[in-house]
Amino acid sequence: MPTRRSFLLLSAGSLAAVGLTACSSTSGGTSGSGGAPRDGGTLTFSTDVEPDVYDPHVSPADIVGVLLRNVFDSLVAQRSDGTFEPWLAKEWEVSKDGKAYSFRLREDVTFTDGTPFDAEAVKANFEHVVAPATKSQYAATLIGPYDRTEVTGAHSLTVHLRKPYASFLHALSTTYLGFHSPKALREHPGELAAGGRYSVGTGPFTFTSRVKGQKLVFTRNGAYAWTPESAENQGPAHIRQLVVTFLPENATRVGAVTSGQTDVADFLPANRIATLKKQPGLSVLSHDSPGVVYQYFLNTGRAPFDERDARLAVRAAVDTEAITKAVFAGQYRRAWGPLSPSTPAYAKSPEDSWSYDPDRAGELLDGLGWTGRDADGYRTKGGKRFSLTLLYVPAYTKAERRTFDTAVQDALKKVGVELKLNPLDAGSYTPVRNRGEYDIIAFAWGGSDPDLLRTVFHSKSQLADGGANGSRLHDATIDGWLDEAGATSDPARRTELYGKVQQRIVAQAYTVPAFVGTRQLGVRQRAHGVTFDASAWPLFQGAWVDA
Amino acid sequence: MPETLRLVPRRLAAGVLVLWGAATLAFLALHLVPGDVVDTVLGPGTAATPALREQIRLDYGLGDPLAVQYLRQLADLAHGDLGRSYQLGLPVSQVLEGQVAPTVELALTATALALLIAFAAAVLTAGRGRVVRSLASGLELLAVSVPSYWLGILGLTFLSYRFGLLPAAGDSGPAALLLPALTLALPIGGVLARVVRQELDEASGRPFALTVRARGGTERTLLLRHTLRHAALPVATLSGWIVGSLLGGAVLTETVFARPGLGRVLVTAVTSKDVPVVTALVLLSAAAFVVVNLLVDLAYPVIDPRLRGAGTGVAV
Amino acid sequence: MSALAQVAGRGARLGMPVAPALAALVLALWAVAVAAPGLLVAADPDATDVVAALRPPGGAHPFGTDELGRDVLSRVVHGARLSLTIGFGATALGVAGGLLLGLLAASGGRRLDQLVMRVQDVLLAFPELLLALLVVTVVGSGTGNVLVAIGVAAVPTYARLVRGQALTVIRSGYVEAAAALGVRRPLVVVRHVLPNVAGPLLVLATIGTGTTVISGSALSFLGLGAAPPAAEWGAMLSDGREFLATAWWTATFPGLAIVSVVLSVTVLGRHLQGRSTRGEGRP
Repeated sequence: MPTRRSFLLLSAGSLAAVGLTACSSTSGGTSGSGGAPRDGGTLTFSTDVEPDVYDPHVSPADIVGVLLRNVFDSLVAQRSDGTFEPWLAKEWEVSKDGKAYSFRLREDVTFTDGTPFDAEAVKANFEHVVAPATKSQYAATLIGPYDRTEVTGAHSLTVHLRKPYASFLHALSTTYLGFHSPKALREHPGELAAGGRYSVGTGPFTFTSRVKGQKLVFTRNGAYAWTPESAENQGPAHIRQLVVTFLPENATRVGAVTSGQTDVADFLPANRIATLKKQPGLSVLSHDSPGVVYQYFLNTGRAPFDERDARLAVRAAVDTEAITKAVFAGQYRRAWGPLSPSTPAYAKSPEDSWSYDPDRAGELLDGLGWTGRDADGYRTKGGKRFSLTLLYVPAYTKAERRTFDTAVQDALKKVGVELKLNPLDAGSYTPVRNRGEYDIIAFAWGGSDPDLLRTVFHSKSQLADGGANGSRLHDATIDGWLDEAGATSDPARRTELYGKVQQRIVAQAYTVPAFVGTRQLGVRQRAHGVTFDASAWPLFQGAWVDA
Repeated sequence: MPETLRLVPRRLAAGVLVLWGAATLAFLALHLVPGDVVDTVLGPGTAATPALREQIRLDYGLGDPLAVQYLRQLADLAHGDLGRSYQLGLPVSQVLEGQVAPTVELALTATALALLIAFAAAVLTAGRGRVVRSLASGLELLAVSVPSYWLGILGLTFLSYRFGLLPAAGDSGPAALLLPALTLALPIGGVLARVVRQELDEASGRPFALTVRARGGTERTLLLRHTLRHAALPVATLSGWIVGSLLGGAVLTETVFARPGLGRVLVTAVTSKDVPVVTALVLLSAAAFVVVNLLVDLAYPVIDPRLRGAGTGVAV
Repeated sequence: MSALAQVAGRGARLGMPVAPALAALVLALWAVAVAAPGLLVAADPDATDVVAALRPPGGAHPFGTDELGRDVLSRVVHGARLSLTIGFGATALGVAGGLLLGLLAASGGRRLDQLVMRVQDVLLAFPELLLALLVVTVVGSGTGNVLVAIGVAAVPTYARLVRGQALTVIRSGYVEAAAALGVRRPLVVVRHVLPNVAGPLLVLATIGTGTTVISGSALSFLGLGAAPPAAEWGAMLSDGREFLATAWWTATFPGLAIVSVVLSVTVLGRHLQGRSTRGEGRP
């Protein structure tokens, strides 16, 4: 079972993202309302896979971000509109050159082990993130060009960066840059990954226990009084206990919520939504996942996708709309560009700018000289078959994605293009992929920061260098826009630049966008007030349950 | 008895040999795997800088020569240290900690069910007419021919989803254990039923049966007190096979029913090439095999009095 | 199915070859499916029709359609090729490996025998599925590799049988006599041992094929077998599992196909077994 947040997983299907924006919807019942909140009781939340490692400074898994949000707070919080508000930091200031961030911290915050939260605690945590011994797989990347933390007072500090980094506030707002108690960092650095009582933060819950493969128990932190301003519940959590169980099979997870074994089920499979919505006593909360949508990255570094017409042909051959509808039982929307509509700086202009047109695909392929046909009906040029390879790791590929890939394969076959789905295990996949020995790879990457585009399309973000440039793109125009967007702190200018990047990616057909992943939560009637943080993950701080 | 006890040290030595072989095999197998272990540790994630890769290599001692890694692993195993999981970054013992109980629970329940099925079928059909026996034999055949995981799928489809009789999810109490244990038990029960029935057929024609009848014992006492005891012997002989079927079956059953347990851990570890975890599980399964066989050897004289040293072989 | 089983049981008891005949018929049908699936079904097993996804059985699709609108009947029939190649191929590999190792152990001197048998002991300590999983880990996933993995896992069982039979023959004095006549030892072993081993081996292999078919589908079910879009029974079961609540047919028919094969080879195997033991006139 996949348990890591690899970028193969990060998407759509697997990425948290239920937000407060226009795209979210509730049906079949009420979840946010239900009278006055009641204190006490236990809420059970069932998600799919258990994380490997419970140290947010180490793990790249999005489920770690979701679960440990209950334990770890951040300096700032991202609002649903993409802007930032104070959290553990009361206020902050960015230097003119964009390289120094000064924070004033709240003075009333304590860790659940009694240690006060102060500037030294922030420093110790950032140093833990960047220490090589931590072997951070994500936080160290998130923290970007971090240089050092200068403690300027008991509750004030300045973070110095080596170069401007416009996404720094976003990075700080994630669970991955949350704060362990300095005492925990000092006393059991080797056990932070184990979770349970070793995870000590300032959050609304304490991590009481963990039985691997079975459940986690979080217990209310009665002293909690430092929520971000936008949170509905400004005090401690209502529920006494949050129990998390892991049910990797879709069917069993759905069974658990319909039978009442769990209160909230994560990742409802699309093919069950229609019937679940009709189920009495159950409501379905859904929201488009923000970030880079599931799409097919065409390797522009070698033939045939070094030619734009070949990319356009393949894109025109796939009926994205119909496949999305079938695979996700009409529950998901097709994608038009590289980003999900719920991502800040999403550009609307690519919508309807291209369409399914197998005839046009045929003409383009004819134009490229792929006019012959072999015995199996595939196009040939100079006796060579038009054959493409898509690399994937079965263990990290959800069934519905494999189904989507299979549908794409058949669509391409219909225009005479062979697509070979080549399964590899993780160990063999990485080197082959890093050498660029593929025509297509497909993935999604969730997140509420449009600067994800840099990770996925900047020429300096090649796969071998730790980036996710699946198209092996070297596009100086895109690089220029991304560099400028990363360095400017003017939100309007950033939006404009990211918009241009999206338009160009679509115009050049560097990828074939597939579908907009949707996170669907099944919520029993007795559970209320499950909300979502701005990076669009379920939050339980404001939740309550009927007796 | 003394005869059997004298065999124990030899058996133990053979067991240790098997375990050593198992450890060696697992080590060899997983180091023959193509690909870089660091990629395995990281998974197909991307945020891996060269510095991080080097750190991982150092931490896991992957830079050392294979022979050194092998000896170190054996030494650690001898000390009961199962190593550190590549995928989870935790001691393997911690990874397996909560997983042993659910699998043992499942396996024991399934064993009990399988024995129940086998002996019930045998007792119900022994000495009955042709129709009943053909029916039983047909059902046995069916039980061994159906892939247990498909049986589980059918059970879920019809019993859980269609009629809502049994819970579909995870491990939540005895009700959730029933269906998985039953699917695991049926194929084993089918084989055992056949063996037991054959043994009963043969035994009822043996001299001791005539003796019992002559002494005025009823068919029922004959069946329950004497013949079934005979039938226990071939079942005991099959115990190694049963352990194997349970462990292999658990891999699939736990997957189908989304139950926690060693089988699930194994599938995850195999797909992610988590060498220390796979090694530990391979050793565990070999150890279970060795221990069960040893116990069965010791139990033979208890089950079959004829094996108690100077027995005459006449009395029952 | 249970009717078939009953007939099988009764047939075996009455000494009538009804059940084996039926079993042979079923296997013959599957043989046609392997060799020329087009004779049995017209639909392309890989052709998707997303508009007609998850249609229940009936009309143009007697077994319904799967999540991409592919015809389940056609996929079951075409799936025979991969599924049965794995099952029968693995048995063949297991028998070949078992013959080689068993004969080697029996005829190659005490040391070699000891070595081979100790390795066998270790291998026999693992459940076959676990051993196959280990092999798949080394060689990677895919149809061919699954075949190899299951075949290798089956070797110890056959090797033990062959060695036992071979030793009996060798100790019978045949071999010494032939060797005295100047015939090369390995040649003698092969010439005299093989015919004696063939009978029991065939019985064991026939019944064993049931196991390898199940194991093969199990590994595919765990996602280690064929890559999409290839039709394979275990993989179909795995895909169909997502739709148990809404589309029972996707996971039911491939399972029935497996059962029909396993049941048939088991009935045939037991029939052969009965004949061979009667023929040999067991003491």
